[in-house]
Amino acid sequence: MGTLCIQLRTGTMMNMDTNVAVKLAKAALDKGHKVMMFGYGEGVFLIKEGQDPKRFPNVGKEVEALAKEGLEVAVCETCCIARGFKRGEEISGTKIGSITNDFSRMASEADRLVTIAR
Amino acid sequence: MSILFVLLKAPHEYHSLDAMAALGGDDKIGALLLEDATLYAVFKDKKDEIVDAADEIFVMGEDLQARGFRLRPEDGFQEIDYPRAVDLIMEDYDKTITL
Amino acid sequence: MAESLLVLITKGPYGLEEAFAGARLALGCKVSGIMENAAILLIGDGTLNACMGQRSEAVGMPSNLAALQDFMDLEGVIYCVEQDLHQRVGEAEVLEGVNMITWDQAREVIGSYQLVNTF
Repeated sequence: MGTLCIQLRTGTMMNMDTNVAVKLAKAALDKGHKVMMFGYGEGVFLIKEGQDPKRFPNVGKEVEALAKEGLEVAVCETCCIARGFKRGEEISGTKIGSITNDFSRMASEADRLVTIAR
Repeated sequence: MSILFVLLKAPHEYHSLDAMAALGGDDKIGALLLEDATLYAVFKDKKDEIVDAADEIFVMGEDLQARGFRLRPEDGFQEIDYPRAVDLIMEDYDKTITL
Repeated sequence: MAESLLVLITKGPYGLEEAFAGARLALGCKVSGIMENAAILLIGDGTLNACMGQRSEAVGMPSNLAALQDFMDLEGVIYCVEQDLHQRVGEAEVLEGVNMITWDQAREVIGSYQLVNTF
């Protein structure tokens, strides 16, 4: 089994990029691959706690569940600060991290990298 | 080498698929169409463009179905699901490039 | 396991943050000590990021040129597809140190990196 790194750079609403990233992560986990996701730019909102869309899938809940199944998730702290997303507001089991420490390591461990962005 | 190009945007959001052909060169080129990019399989003026640019074209079935369309067997597109997409990414192709 | 990452920049400067974000990501990888073999390839509108004469202060944005220079200051390698730049703006002065290459050479670059991260 291999290791997949997904980099997500779009937000959780207004398009389905995040849904695609989460579905891909789940399918890869189900096949026994190791999966890591890194949120960059708008992609940091993937792990914002308290997401409550009325009619759309709650990707926050999905990510929380996948994290319990082994999905590793980190997002860029600089991007979070720029958007007023504070440490402590992240979903349990996920991490506000950095490119230097987290994305670089994820990429180095990955067999494949998929960019989900516009 | 083989490259799987991941496309997420609607056909008319791409100026052209020249970048796919230029990046892929003589390599085996696959196109994984997700979200609005699945419309490449149904837009009359765009279908030929992607057929010319890629050796294999994979269409996420649920995205196309959500938009009310289905593939025509004679067009040569392959309908896939997420588990198959994972196999394409992890096993069938050497690397992925999102455009 | 991957030891090399190519940041592929396809978007031009200032309309979108993509190119700046790509340059900063490449820089972050370079300084990480984990993914030091990171390079940047400019194609399409992304080639405009290498053009001299940018005045990012005119729109109150950080400089994409400076972001590319920061990467090169750490011995990061930047490639730019000359044909794409010429197609768009003709002859243009580009940032010193950027490697102007053909599409054939760009394909070789892509082939030599294990992961490609598009911006």
